[in-house]
Amino acid sequence: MFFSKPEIISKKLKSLEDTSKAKLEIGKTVYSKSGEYVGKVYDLIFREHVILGFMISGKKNMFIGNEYIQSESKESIVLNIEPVINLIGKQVFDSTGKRIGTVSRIGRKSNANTYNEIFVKRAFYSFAVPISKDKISVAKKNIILKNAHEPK
Amino acid sequence: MNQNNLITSDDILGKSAVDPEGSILGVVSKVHIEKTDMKIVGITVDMGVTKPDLFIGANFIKEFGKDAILLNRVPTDKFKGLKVMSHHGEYVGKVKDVIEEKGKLKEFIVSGKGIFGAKYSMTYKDIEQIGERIVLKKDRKLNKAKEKIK
Repeated sequence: MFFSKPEIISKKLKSLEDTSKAKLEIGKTVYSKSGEYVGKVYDLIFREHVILGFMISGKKNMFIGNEYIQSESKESIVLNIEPVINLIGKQVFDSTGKRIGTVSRIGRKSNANTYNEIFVKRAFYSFAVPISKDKISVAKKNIILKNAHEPK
Repeated sequence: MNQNNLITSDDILGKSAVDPEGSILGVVSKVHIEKTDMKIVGITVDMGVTKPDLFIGANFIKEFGKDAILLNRVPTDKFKGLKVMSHHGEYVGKVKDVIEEKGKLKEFIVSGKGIFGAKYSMTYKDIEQIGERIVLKKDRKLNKAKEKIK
């Protein structure tokens, strides 16, 4: 009985063919646009029975809205963004090759996938130094600044 | 002679080599010096146990930094071993080899799933994004490789 085709009682839906089950979404691996591992889906968030997005456990627990999903398969979901949260833990070098530290925190003004500044720590006990976004040249695998960094 | 412009081998050896995308390729293990001109011609980067050492010519070095050696080009060897996935996030295979022509990337050879997986070839046209993995464009299927891998 469990595996039998379910009867449909709905005014909108004629068949379940092009639909997806919530339990199959949980556990999917999430990758960013460039294929970087983001995390795994552990929950779905609904509002008035409509899915708004996914809860993902990775470097940090995060909610990613439906609008940032590019495609998905049986096992994985690919986003159309590089989540700014993924910058946490990346190393920061200035233009002269001097290591400034690692990103400890991201400064964000809104919940969109943007940031204003990053906070960089040289060691876990040191103070976090803010570096604004306009001073960053490359933010991919690690971060390289446009100019030489002079500590204040 | 300006002493500020001079560096010693200690300032190079053991430093991380960082490509323009910020990837740390490995640690500089050797400095190559030409006998006659006594100029540095390149460095060898130790890329870890699983990858062979990489020689980087002096013309690809942007800066000998205090903590890292900055490069001005992404070495093609970096792509070897990268996982390839479809637009939908399914695993397709791994980059086995990279074919260059006149210093430009021409083709990637990808070994498919499994130990005896078939070899496929792909070009930049098939690729949507290169990062931690290579993501293919929508509805792109890879062709079987014609060229033999050395």
